Amino acid sequence: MEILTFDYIYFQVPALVKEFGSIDYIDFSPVEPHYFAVTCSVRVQIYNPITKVVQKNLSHFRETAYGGSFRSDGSLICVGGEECQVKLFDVSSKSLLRVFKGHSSAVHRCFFTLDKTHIASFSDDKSICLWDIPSESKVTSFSEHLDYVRAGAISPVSTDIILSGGYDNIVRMYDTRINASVFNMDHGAPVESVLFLPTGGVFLSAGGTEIRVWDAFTGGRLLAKLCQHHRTVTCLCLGSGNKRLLSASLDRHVKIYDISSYQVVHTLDYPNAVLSLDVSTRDETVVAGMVDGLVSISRREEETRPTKQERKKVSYRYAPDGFQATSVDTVVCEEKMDLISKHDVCLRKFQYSKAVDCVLMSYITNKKPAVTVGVFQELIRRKGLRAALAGREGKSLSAVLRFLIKYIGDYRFTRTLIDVANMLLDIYDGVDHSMEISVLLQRLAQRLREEEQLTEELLALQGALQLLLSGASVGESNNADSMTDVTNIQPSQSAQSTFVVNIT
Amino acid sequence: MAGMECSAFSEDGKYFGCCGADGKLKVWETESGILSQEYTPDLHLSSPFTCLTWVASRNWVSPRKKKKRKSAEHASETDTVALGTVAGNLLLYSIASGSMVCQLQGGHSFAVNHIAWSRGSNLFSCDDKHIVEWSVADTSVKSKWKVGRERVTCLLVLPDSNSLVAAGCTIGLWDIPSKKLIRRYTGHASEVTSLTLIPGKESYFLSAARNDRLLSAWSLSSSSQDTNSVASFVMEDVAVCVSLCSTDTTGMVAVTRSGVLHLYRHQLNGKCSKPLKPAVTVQIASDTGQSRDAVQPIPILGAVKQGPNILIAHGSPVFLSFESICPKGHEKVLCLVRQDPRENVKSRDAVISKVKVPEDDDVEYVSQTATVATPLKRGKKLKTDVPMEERLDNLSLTRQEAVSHKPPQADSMAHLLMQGLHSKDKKILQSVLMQKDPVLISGTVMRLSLQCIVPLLKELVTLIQGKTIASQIAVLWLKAVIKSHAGQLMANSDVRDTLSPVLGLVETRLGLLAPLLRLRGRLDLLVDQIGESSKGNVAGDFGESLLVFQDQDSDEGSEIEEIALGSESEDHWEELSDMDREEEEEEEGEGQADEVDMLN
Repeated sequence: MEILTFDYIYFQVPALVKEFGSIDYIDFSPVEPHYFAVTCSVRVQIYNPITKVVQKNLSHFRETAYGGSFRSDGSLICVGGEECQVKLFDVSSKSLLRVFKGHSSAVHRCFFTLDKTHIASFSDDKSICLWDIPSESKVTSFSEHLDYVRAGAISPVSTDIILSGGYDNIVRMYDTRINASVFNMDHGAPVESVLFLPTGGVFLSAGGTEIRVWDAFTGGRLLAKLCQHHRTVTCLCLGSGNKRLLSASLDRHVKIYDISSYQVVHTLDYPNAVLSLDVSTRDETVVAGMVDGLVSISRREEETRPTKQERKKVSYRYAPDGFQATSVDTVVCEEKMDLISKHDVCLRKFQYSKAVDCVLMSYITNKKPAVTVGVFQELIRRKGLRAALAGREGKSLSAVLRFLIKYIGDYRFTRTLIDVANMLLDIYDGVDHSMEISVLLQRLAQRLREEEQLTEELLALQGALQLLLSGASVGESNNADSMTDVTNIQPSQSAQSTFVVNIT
Repeated sequence: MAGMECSAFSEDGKYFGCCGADGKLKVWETESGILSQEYTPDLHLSSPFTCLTWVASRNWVSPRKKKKRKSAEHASETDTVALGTVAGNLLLYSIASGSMVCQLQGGHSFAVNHIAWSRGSNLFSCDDKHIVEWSVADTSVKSKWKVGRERVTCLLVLPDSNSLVAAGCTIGLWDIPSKKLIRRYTGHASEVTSLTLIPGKESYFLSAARNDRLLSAWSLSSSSQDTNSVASFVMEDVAVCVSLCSTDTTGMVAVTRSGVLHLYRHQLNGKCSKPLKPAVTVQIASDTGQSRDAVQPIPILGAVKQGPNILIAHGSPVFLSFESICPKGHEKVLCLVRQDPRENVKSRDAVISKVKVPEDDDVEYVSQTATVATPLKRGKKLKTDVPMEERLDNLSLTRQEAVSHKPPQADSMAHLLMQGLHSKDKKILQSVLMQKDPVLISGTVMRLSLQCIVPLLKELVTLIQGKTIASQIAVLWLKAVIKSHAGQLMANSDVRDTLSPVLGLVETRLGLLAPLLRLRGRLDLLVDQIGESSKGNVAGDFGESLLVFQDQDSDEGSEIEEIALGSESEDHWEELSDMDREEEEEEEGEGQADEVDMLN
């Protein structure tokens, strides 16, 4: 029996659609209405997630197409394939706009970079190419891998960082500014999928039965290994507002992890080995593509809360209109005297000095320092602090000083206690102090020095934290910022010359 | 009673014999306090000793010259220990020759419960049912008779008479020649463990029983036919040893199981219904010299009264010390502070171990007692018989200690921290998070698994809002976490909520910094002034000798100038600070008013 966890209820039973050939790649459009592109066989089908029918069909392919992915504005789509080319389509008109030629082998993955004007393609010829869309030309290429490159990702925060994973077990990070790889990590198995977390500081690689988590900031330190699957992991994606990680595997399961702890929170079961997976931005739809061409679309309907039924009217059959039951007994509440504490009594009688003595008892100073501070504050307000503190000697003076030493570090009390200390110094400045008092004063000074030091350290920490938090907010702001340019790109020469007729 | 310890002083107090659980007889010389003899009998484990009695050998052995021993030995007054075994045999061990003199067999078929002897009488022993009178000269049983139904646990031979007291739960007075019961005393509920004679014109005897905190005194005079006890003495615990001096009968000492000595100063004369209380109670404590709480009591194991003095043995069976005390005055409780004998040995060991070169692989024994333990014993025995406890104490453990004092490893710390975070165990968390070493902290944080980071962060956020020290440490930890897990923290979108209290705290503290600094400056000045004024006198004393080469007039002038300058600047400063404060107060007055309301 399944336990009805939140995640179980959240991800519901799917609908199945049959396609031709195995489903290579699924990508959701980042803009409404969140169409998703399913790349399979020689076409890219664009589905409507609500009606679950094909909305558009890109079929300009002679051979199998791979890895159709949307641009961040959802208007363009780039597709690789067995034809050793990367093709660029306009989604709305389905017209072929660009063809990037230059690879010598099949292109399995291709992505738009963050600046929207470039495409990175990952090919079986062991190379990664960066293409310029307007000029339809190759900007740069990296061929450091020793085997097929079947996985790739674009940094979500930088336009210049590209990540690739090859069948030579290596994950490489490239910087296009220096035209070389920055560092590389050994995954230990042929890499099937790589994924950046939205802040760009952490990335994941999937291959074999393992998912590995790497830290980009510390030069590719291995943070964690997730071994939840028993067959090859094929696909990684993020969901639930980037709080959940989903991994699909040939073992017919999709595991969902919590990204803060990397613990499995839920598992989805599918009828066949899952090759590709994606989740729409707000988790409304989860689409998984399987080896035998089945596409499973599970959509979460907006739940309609059953409104509370109105309470039935109680029968007033025997009661006259406007009847109100009155209770016969009059209940007299017991009057409780508020216990007035000692210092309150003293304050009321304007015995300020005595009130301070009351709250400097060891029980109160140890257990309820707030009361003591409160009395000090009240005395300041009444301008009676000087009177309360004056005329103290020896023991009673040292009690005040001890309290100050003990609690001046507590940030809740510091402000008041500083005033008290100042007042104390005003009063006892010229007085010749005994040994004990002068020692206490030295301790107080020492204590203040510690506080100062602590504040300095805290400020340094604040700097670090602010950097961290601003880094964390980069990922969020990025999505919102630019819906700027959707320049109409005219089909290029080579694109126009490519003409494919599909006879279905 | 295998495993029970029995111990006794010799009659003259020269020796102290003890049979421990290890089945060995140990004899100490009380004067020097060293272990002089140790005797391990054959079969000491299968038939251990049950009882021990000191016998002065001259009185009863020397008239009968037929002993196997050589005359040279027993010509002098020699002390002999008579020992009873579980198997029912009696052994006689001579201190002078350091060997077993003879073995008396064939009298008992059960364990010997007690052996009694008195000057001018034969040796008597009892098992559960029989009393046996031995003829030591020819090592044979002189007579043997059965004693009623009850067990007999204790015997007392009365001097210069032919009677004997045998005690189980009831006490019986027997006529030896006729083997008849003369008289019976009742009063004890449990078995009697010791009988002691009080000599005098009208003689009494004392009895102590198992689990009984009262010593009972019984009258032996034939005139009174009272079967009840004449008097009773109350003690703190069960008595293990009762002693009184034959020449001075006014005092009687009793040592209890808890290791306390009671001294009674009562002259028995007729019946006394109330229990008598001790005149003096003596306790011994060790002075560890560390703190007041760490005082350890040292138990007194035995005592013998010698005239006005009391010879006591205290410590543990392994480390015994002897001392003669003479309680005078009127204090009811006397507490003696002595060094723990064990500590004594340890300190001596430490001195020795400094000299010797430590070896790595081999365990070493560094024992004083091993060298003291004397040659003696019967022929074959030897090797050093150092008890296990002592061996463990003496093991040179310097190497291991060195290992244990190393700082904790980051690896184990990380494990501990993860466990603490999982179980939310405050103790573990505190033990880990209170580490201050930055290297250790960063190592630990580096090794943490990703699952633990968010809980750790939450823990640190609460810690940073605590007291100054906790806050300082939390800052160190937080920095380490941020350094090594920045990527992970950024990826976690909840991190902002988690860390916002810290940012708030920083802002609050920052707001407090300016007044804090002002106050500190003021205090510093004050403290410096105090310091100066206390130094001033000293400087004056030095001044004269230092000023030999300088012109007197000009020097004075400069001093005056300095003082003038100093006071000016102080005044100026104080005025400033006063003004500042007043401004502050005005500013804060409004804010504080509503805060006070909340607090009240």
